[in-house]
Amino acid sequence: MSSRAERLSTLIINSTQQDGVQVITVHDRIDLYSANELREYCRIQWDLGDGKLVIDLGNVDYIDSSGVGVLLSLYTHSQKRNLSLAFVNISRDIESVLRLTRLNGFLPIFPTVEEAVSEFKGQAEHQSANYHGLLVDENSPLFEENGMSTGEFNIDLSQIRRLSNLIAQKAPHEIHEINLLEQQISELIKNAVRHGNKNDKNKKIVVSWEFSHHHARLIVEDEGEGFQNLDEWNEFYRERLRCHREGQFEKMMDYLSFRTDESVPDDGGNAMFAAVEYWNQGVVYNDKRNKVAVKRHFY
Amino acid sequence: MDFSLKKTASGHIVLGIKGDLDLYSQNELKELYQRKLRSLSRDLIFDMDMVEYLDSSGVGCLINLYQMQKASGFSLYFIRMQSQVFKVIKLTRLDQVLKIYKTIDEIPFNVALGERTG
Repeated sequence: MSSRAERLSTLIINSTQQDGVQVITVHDRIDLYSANELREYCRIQWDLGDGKLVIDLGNVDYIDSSGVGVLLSLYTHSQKRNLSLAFVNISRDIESVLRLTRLNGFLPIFPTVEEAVSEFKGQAEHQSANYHGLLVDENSPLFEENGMSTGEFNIDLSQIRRLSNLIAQKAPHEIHEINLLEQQISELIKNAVRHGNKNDKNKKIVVSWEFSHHHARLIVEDEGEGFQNLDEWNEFYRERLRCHREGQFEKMMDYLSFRTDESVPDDGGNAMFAAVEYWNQGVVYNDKRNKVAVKRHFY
Repeated sequence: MDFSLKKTASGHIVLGIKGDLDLYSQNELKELYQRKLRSLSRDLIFDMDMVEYLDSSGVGCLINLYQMQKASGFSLYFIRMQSQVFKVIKLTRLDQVLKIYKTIDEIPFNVALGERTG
């Protein structure tokens, strides 16, 4: 378990991880001088904790109206971006400040870190139980091509990394984990070239992309017959999720790799498992299933 | 991709992997395993510190080697994974299936031994 103490200009914060949740402990004061720093710090922490953040206020002995404003803005940010957030170990003094501002029943406050983490687990299970996997919806807004950049490429497998890298370069450099974005783009292109166009350079793929600080959206189309095993994949994926949810990791070994008659040995068979997690706003196919649109919100 | 094979003072076999583990390179690792590592008939530790990029083919390769080790009664451990590489594994929800540790000191070797004999 890593624990880091950082001396920011006005704030002292410790951060650790517990069950995949980022837990930060704020010390001393949250006031006009430290408010902005805390807000920025939390956004980075959300990324590290995969969108789950617990803020321990047990060592805060003073909070002013700017401080209360930060807690509130962190909460609205979490709501907008579907992030998990909890405040824990609220002292009596701080509780009375929150009560004065009538925020005590509004903010996600839990007694302890453990209770917050267990609440997050419940939320995650609820979400994954409702998870759709791969969708088929030609009218999805994810297919809206207006304003996107587009390119057509006649490539085979040897050029996938290069093309993915070129596209990922168009994303703002402030985005964390650009390698991960590049990798996720490469998987979609790899599927289009290998499974769609059967590695035939005479066939083209059409890629459209759109990036901002807050999101990435991509559409990849090939000239193939379409992903015919999509329903089968969804079924496989749901079984896999169930094993994971129930902690049956031995049984999950049976669901490591989705393979069809066309799979080749260097085909991981796991790319789209990661894709439906990474592209957190959806992975949608057209009716013919030879065109996929994906979108991710960055936290 | 570059590999370095060494034995620690405590007798454990550590394979240092350097470079991208992806569609293009994963076969080198598979070949090395078939040629050299498998016949060692030992638990293996992959040091991932110098791997900066992993894709689904790379993940597939690691799963494959993990299963081959398991089938012959041995473990495969991963240590010092970079955070972006760990995220790729985590996205596939395999972080609790594969044996991933921060450092070699955190590997619970005795437990693994118990699994093998039991």
